[in-house]
Order: sequence, then C-alpha cells, then structure tokens
Amino acid sequence: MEFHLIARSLNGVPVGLHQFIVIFTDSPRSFPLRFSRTTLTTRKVAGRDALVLGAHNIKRSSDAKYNRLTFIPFEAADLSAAVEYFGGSPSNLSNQFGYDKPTGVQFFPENGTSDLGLAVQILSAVDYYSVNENSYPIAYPLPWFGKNSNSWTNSILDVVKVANRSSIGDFSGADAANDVRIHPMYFQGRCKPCTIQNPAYR
Amino acid sequence: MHNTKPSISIIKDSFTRLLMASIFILVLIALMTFIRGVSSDIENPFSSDDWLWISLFLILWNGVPAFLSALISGFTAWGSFKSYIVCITLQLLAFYIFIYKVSSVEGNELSSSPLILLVYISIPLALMYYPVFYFRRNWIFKNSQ
Repeated sequence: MEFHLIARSLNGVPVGLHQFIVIFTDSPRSFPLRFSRTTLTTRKVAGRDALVLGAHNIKRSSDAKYNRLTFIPFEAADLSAAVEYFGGSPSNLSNQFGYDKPTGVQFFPENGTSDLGLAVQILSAVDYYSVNENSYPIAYPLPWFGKNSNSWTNSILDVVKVANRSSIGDFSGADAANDVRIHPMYFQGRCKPCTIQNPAYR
Repeated sequence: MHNTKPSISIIKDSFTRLLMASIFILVLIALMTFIRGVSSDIENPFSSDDWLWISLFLILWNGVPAFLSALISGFTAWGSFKSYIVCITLQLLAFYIFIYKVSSVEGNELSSSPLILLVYISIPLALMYYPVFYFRRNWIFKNSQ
C-alpha cells in the first residue's frame, strides 16, 4: 500500500490549495466504516486502485450560521487531481486561470505499524469524524478564521502513526489553516459531546 | 498645483514610500500571525510559510496601485488622494468583476479560498493603506517638513 498527501488548486480560483489523502491498495478493496455505516471501495486512479479522502466546504442549511467541514470521498476535483498527479490525464481544473499542477508527498507508517494498520487507522479516524461531525458540526467560516480541509488532513496525520510526520503537512503556497487542528476526539472515538473549538459554535 | 520635483526624485520618493509601507505590512501580518497563533492554540505559528505569502500578496495588492498613484500625482497636476482613489477604484472594479466571474463557475471553491477574505476587506484595506503609504512626518511632528 502507499499513502500520499496531495495539494491541488481550488476549483475556479487562482489562490489557495486544498489538501487530501490518497491511499493506494494492491488490489480492488472495500472498507466498511462501522459507525458511519458506509463502505469505501477503491477506484482506479491512474490505473491503480485507490481511495481518495478529503473534507470539503458544504453549504450551510438555512438555520445554520456557517458552512460545514464534511468528509467526502472521491470528490470530483480531488479524484481528477489525483489522476493527474499520478500520471494520468490532466485535471478537470487544468484549464482555469492560475492553475498549478497538484503537488504531493508520500508518507509511511511508523516502525511497528504495517501498511494495512496505517490504512485502518486513517479510515477509523475518518469514520469517527463522519459520525461526530454529523452530530457536532465543524464550522467552515472564512479562511484563516477557522478550520478547513487542510486542518482536517493535518489533524488526521497527527492522530495516526506516520513515520515522517514532521516533514509533511505544509505545502509551498496558500494552503490556509494547515496549522490549525480539529480536536483529536473527533477522530479517536465517539465523542458525546465533542469539544467545539471553533468560536462560531461556542 | 503641478509638482516641480525632478522625475528621478519622484520615482525615488515613490519607491521609498513603497518600501516603508511594505515593511509596515510585513510587521503587521507577523503580529496578526502571532495573535492568531495564540487564539487558535497553534504552537509554532511562524513555522508555516502562509504568513509570508499573505504579506507578499498584500504588499503587491496595495503597493502597485499606490505606487502608480504616486507617479501619477508626481507627474501630473493631480493630488495624491485623487490619483490614489482613481487607481484603487480601477483595481477594485477589476477585482470584483473577476470575483463575479469566478463565482459563476459551476462548483467553484471561492468560499474556501483566501480571496473571499479580500472581497470583504478590500475597500477598508485600501482606505487604511493610503495613510500608510503617503505618511508624512508632520502628521505627528507638527514642526517637521
């Protein structure tokens, strides 16, 4: 298995980077997520079987104050950027003004953790986040004033066993809020209640 | 009143103003980064390069129209404020037209981009930048030239 942290340009906008995680498996696989009651099945990314995992800015409902930071697997722009990065066809964003090709870095499990072990840890974190965020949404206010997809990826990398953690997570460019963290409890279990750190919901 | 300074002096003065205003922006963004780090429990707020990118962007965003306005007021009969307002108006007009076009793109992620901040702060930012760029010592020290 392989693990990559990828940063791509934002859709339609020449400023800003969005991070997401790609996990390559050796063959087509399905991973049931127990708590969020969904199953993630690999898809082809540049000819290889992979999971594409990212969090996204979801428009708020009429009674909510802010948008939400919600996990979405295989989001179209993420998938397209992953294909481009790993040698496939150009991204669906490649014709836009100010487009930069995706960049990425590979990360590895710590000594003593297997590839499958790290994959399970990441997916477990995603599973917990999906359930917890549904009950206690993470607000998505203006950039640099809250958490976003870059916070999400870095928060996950903090709670799983990554060998080269200190050298990944901040790409050159405007990957805003990569240094902000979602509370680990969102990723490590069912939290009731979850600590809300975003001032918007205090 | 038409400015009678030599051309080279006008250009030199404009560059000096740009440099001093740029330093001011750099210090201001560094301070905001520190405050943000404290309020968001970020251990090393300066470890990320984001604050440098913000500073560079704001230096260019504010500095280019201000510098042009300084040249215009230096070489024409226009006062500094008038030329600055004209330059800023053109800049903001172009910016908001661009934002409108971006917001019309299907699935655009404008709300996730730092540009959305600029939509809200571009006008107050432009108004705040004028005294920074055109600062005169006699605004503080009444007997200074």
